[in-house]
Amino acid sequence: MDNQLGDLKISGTGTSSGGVYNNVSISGSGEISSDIECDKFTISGSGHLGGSLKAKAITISGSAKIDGNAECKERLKISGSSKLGGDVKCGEFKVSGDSHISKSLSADHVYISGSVKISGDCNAEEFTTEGGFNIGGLLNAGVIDLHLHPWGSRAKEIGGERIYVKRSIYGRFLKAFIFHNKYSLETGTIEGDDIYLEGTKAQVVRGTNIKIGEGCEIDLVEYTGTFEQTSDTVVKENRKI
Amino acid sequence: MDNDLLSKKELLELTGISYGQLYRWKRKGLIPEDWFIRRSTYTGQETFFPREKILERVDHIKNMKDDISLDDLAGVFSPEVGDIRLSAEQISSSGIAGAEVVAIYAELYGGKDYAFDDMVFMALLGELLNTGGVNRDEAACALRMIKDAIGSFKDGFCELFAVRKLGVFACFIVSSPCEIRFEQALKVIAQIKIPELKEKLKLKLL
Repeated sequence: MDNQLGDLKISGTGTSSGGVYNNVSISGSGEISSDIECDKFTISGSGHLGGSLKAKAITISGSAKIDGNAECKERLKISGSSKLGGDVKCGEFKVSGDSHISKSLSADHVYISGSVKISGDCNAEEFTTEGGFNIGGLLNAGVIDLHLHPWGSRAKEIGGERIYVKRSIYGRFLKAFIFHNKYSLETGTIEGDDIYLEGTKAQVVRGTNIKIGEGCEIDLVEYTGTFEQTSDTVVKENRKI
Repeated sequence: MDNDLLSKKELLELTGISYGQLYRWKRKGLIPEDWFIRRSTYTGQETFFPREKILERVDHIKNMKDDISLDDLAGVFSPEVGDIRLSAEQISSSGIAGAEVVAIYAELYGGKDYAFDDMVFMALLGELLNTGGVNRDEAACALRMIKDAIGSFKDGFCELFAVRKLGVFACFIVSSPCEIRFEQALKVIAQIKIPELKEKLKLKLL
């Protein structure tokens, strides 16, 4: 981005009509009515963007609502709460707060330590979570590494190369005392090359090498390589293809 | 079951690829979203693919992936084009269209260097003339028509038909895929799928 571009700073209450900037920061409460293109975009108070956002890096540590698409070459970091109304595309997507995406998410790396709701699909090379998620469509990632809290993560379908689902230790503890969700993850279909599952309820699991750990309920497992299951888990049917 | 459709399981069996590979290709945009057809079967929801298209595409990807990266490959299959301009010599030397074809195109539309769209039209012109059943004026007429009309098809998903009946030439464009029937006296001289033409072109440009 050009150096001669100005910055947009809203530090009390302010409004702006959007445009192209070097850096944009909102630290009070700000309202931007249309599209923004900038280098760094930061909200540490509360902000509403009525259009779409294109930036190199986006940081949200307060609360933000973006109505349009959000695109970011490097990192999109949310530690507050956010509502993103469009498609989200970024290099790295990191949530430690709470985020809601109304369409789909595509990123190279996704790290969730809070909770995320995605109404559409989620595509990533690497998807790691120590929190929870709710994905309305397909979770498609090269490596899926889930350490799940017991409050029920969901995805309609999951597909990828390596898929590991584990209950987090913290989660096991909470589950014993507070939560009554039987499963940490509920999904329709899981398909991948190497799959390890714990605390998962799924209709079908298909893949090359599959290992079903404790606390699962799987209707059908179809595998081409190896299949293992522990004793404290339910697999109604397994087939080698 | 529909013969034109292939289930995901059959696809993996036939081609020897794994779920991981298939999902990766989907993620990279190598396999279009609308080829994933969801149907419910007695085992629940299953995904099917248009048989010929998917087999051809998988074959394509498997044969090429050693030489070029998946991202480059995605560019080949996507309807979008980058900014490239080539001169007449470059076009004929990279085998996109013969020197004569480029000359005819230049005569019709002028220009010294050409964008991707021009190359598509050149390749089209070349294919029409190579059928041997279309003369130069007729090909020029087809070209004019498709240049005007292609904008109304999303991402250029259309097919050009060149036909002849009792010696009279005619051409038209349909959005593909579609079902089409002709009367018997009508002879189809050429049927050219524009997306395929574009893919071939992009491969030559890599």
